[in-house]
Amino acid sequence: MLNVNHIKKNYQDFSLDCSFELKPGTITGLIGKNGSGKTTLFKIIMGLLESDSGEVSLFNKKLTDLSNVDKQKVSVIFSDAGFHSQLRPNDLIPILKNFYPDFDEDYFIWEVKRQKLGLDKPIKKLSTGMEAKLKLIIALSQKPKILLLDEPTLGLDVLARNETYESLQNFMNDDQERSILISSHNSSDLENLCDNLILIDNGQILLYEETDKILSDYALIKVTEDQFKTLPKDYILRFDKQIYGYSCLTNQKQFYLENCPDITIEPGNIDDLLTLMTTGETL
Amino acid sequence: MKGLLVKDFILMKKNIKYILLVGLVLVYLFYRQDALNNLIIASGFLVGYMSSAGMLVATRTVSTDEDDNTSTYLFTLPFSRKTYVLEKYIFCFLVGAICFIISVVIILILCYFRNQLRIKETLYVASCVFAITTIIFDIMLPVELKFSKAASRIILVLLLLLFIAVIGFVGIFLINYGNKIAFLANMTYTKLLLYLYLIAAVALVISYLISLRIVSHKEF
Repeated sequence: MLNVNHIKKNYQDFSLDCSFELKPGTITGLIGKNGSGKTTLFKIIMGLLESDSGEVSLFNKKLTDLSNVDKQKVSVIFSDAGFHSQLRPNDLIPILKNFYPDFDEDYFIWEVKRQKLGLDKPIKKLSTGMEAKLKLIIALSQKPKILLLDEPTLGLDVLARNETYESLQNFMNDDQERSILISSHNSSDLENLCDNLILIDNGQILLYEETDKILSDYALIKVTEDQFKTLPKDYILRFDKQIYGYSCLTNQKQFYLENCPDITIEPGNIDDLLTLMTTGETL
Repeated sequence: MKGLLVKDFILMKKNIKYILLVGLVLVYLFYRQDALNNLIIASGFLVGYMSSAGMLVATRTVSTDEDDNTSTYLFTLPFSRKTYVLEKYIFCFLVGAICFIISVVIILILCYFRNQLRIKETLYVASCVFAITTIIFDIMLPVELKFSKAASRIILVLLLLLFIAVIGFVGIFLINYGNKIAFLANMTYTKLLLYLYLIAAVALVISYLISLRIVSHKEF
């Protein structure tokens, strides 16, 4: 559905270089710290920024060849951009109806009322969390095939975040042909939601893997300095010096469980992965 | 296109009250015989104010689109950049035309009640002023699209001053030498109007092409 093929964008002190694919029926998480290039990537995908080289294709078409009908199948959320703050949810209804033939007005009104956002309340009077909720309602009411969500849960508390993820799951369950690309710097949230994870840092993809594989095969190995010297390092992706010795990241947990019974091996989680992949050293 | 037009009309509705207030003051001044002695000049002034104020408010929707990063989101919606530019021109022209019609109707009604109805002269002056207003708008829109909100305001003021200076210079030239140039001496009101609208049309096409180029290369 979405194909990002060797997209490159160079700034004075930043260089983006990414390739990945978004398949139907999947949710892909884009994880990276602030300034890692997530928003730049979203903007290139939506044609808001021009890449220096590479190609983005949506529904097997180049961005420049996309028709309005194609664009109607894509909804986007940016954490720091949306409709003008003077507009009220009620004002958005005629606007969205004219942009999206499939706009679900009943769902929009029902959700705005259910979440107590106020149909006549200007967006500028909504809290950050309420605004984030409204953005999601707008995106889901457009009934898109692809959802591109850049930090959609920014400013939301845990309960609201979980509700957002539940809405996204329901959105996926309604149509198996849909797909989502979602970015967040809150990596642990994406662990339960996403089928695939992309780890991005300084504009480069450090890891592109299925979430199940990360959870089953990746592990954090904690060893003393002596243990580190004798540790087989064939499957160590990154390591980092700690007070107790070293913490190492592997993508072959089973190998170390079988061959190094004396060392501490903890199941991999996304936070450890993010930390070690971005700050750890390679051998 | 329709979605963009609806958005702009809704946003403009929220900001038009100040323009209407000044417009009402002008209508009141127009109605008072002692405040504005020359009815034809007053008609031109009222039409000029209403049309240019309308177009100005309409043009301001470009910078409104840039408030709070709105344009970043806006340009992800299903329309092309060409449609965006075209919509801005249609919207501004529509608003200007609506203001023009309203002000002309007001003038004619007021003149009728004061027994000073001079439809032909009023329409001539109003149409001339509207053509000049359109030319000003042709300059304003690309400036709004190219520069940031603050910069565009400064540039627009400078451009308007330059425009007024040019109009003043041309006016003085015509008063002093107009009769000596055969082409100008024989110029009828209808021809003048035709030439003005011809200039406005050429300016519109050039302005549109410049705006299209600006927006096509814009990054968000």
